[in-house]
Amino acid sequence: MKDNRFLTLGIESSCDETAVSVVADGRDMLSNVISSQIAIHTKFGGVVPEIASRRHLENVNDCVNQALEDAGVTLDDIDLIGVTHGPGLIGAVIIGVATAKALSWAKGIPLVGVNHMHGHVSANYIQYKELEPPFMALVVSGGHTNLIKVNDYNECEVLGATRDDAAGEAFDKVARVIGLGYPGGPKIDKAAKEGNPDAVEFKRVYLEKGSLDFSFSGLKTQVLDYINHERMKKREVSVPDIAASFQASVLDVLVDKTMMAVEREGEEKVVVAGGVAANSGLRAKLSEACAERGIELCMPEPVLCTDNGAMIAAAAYYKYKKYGADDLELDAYADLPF
Amino acid sequence: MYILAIETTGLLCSAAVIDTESSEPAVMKCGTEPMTHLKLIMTMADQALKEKGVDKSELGAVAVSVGPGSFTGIRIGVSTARAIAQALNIPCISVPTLEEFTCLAGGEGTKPLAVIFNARRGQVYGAVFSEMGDKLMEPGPYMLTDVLDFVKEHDLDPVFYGDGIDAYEDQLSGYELADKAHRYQTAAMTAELGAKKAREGAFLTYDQMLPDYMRESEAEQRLKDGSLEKMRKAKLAKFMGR
Repeated sequence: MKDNRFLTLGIESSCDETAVSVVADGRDMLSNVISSQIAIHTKFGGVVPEIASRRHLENVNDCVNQALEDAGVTLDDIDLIGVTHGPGLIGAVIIGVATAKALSWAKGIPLVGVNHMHGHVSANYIQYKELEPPFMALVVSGGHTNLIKVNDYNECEVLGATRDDAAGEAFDKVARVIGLGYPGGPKIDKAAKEGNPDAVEFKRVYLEKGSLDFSFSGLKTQVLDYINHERMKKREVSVPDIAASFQASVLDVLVDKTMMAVEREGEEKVVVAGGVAANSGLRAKLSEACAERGIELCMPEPVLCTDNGAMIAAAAYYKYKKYGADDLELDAYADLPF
Repeated sequence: MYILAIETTGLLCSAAVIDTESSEPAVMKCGTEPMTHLKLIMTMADQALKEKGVDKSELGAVAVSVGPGSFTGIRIGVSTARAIAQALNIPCISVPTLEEFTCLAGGEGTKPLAVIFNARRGQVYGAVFSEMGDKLMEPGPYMLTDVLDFVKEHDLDPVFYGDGIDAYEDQLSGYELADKAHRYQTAAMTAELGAKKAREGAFLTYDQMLPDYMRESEAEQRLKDGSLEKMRKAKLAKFMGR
């Protein structure tokens, strides 16, 4: 406690970002330290789990110090530690959990394990101070594509999920194929702005009627087929056009299914979260679709969409309020159901 | 000074507490199941301290086995030790895992020690120590045959230790192998060597405390020898040529 405010330290290390944040009263972000490893993994063309784990170990303690310092507090002021304990790259998740457990034990601070996806949803509580469940959440990242009905702070229902590749994974794969490289999301987003989304007709995959699930693995094949086809005809391909057309085919499905879910469940609010929620095309398309239907839309700023410690702190705060602390035997999981 | 020692590099993890001022052996808590390092290490540390009757506020340092061994295992121990040291504002002691076995050196008239950890594909992390605990073969990544050649060339008759025995037992016939109860690294050994290092003043701050993997990641090896680039090109060509 400091100035009568409940302080949560949030630790996130499930992929290639070591992130630590201090959040007051579950909503007010006092600091947000993110140590990105993008530069390191770029030369390997993607995230290498062993290297990510090694870097997390070297970075995490400094991130904790920096987050405390930026917030103007010390570890003694912290009331709760929240940490991502899955899902994610297991070796990477372990570093955050080992660190959080040791800090918790040494200082006698309660500890709560947070589901990474629940964290993404909770990023919205930081950006939108008045936001309260229920609402519909679209969580799109490199590892996940989910439509989640959030009934309460700790009660979620997964209505739809990807059956193969996550949306972000499709971005990464297609970016590699068209030579844009890693990280694919921001690179395709940028290239797409220069291209024509109607230039190439890629199929939108809606699966069976009424399904809220997704499938993006076929898109990479479609892009490859298109490139091969054009090459055989000895025609030049335009990378911006492919990027724009590919992106449109992903976003159309994401937005349509989100609207379908909202209408079916009678929700009045939509929130987005996850790394792909930083995509400018998705933000524009969703804004338009929600405005048309008079649906309230929450889109956290990009720094809260990508992995961060603040979202973990927010989720931990509400989990702790309802269920209390986890014990010292908290473990890490590569797969962790929502 | 009380030292908390952590050993998570092998199949089973353990935590121990030792008093550097006393000749009493360390109090140790050991795991009994593999793959429970992260889950149990803090509880074991807590239990070891309680059994020794030491409060965590009385700890003077935290010693940790830094490898070689399981990459993930090493990181669980080192991350835990770093965060404890950071939170309690105490120093760390870095304990090289292979050297922990020098605690078992029996002195004059006993046998030297050859320590081998399984690094797969005929490889080991290995070292050979004299019966006095002095290094004869520098700890490092070797082929098992390098270690056996060294032993033969120097006409040594060592006792073998480490989980390399379990992996390569068929190639170790004729040598004395430590029995299973004394074959593997434990936090009691970490504590003993840690206490020795403490008396020598070998303290580190938590951010200086790093793993000793003894090997680069496979991706880094591939990046350096060019096979990563080759593999990526081949994969892309396969896609394109469908």
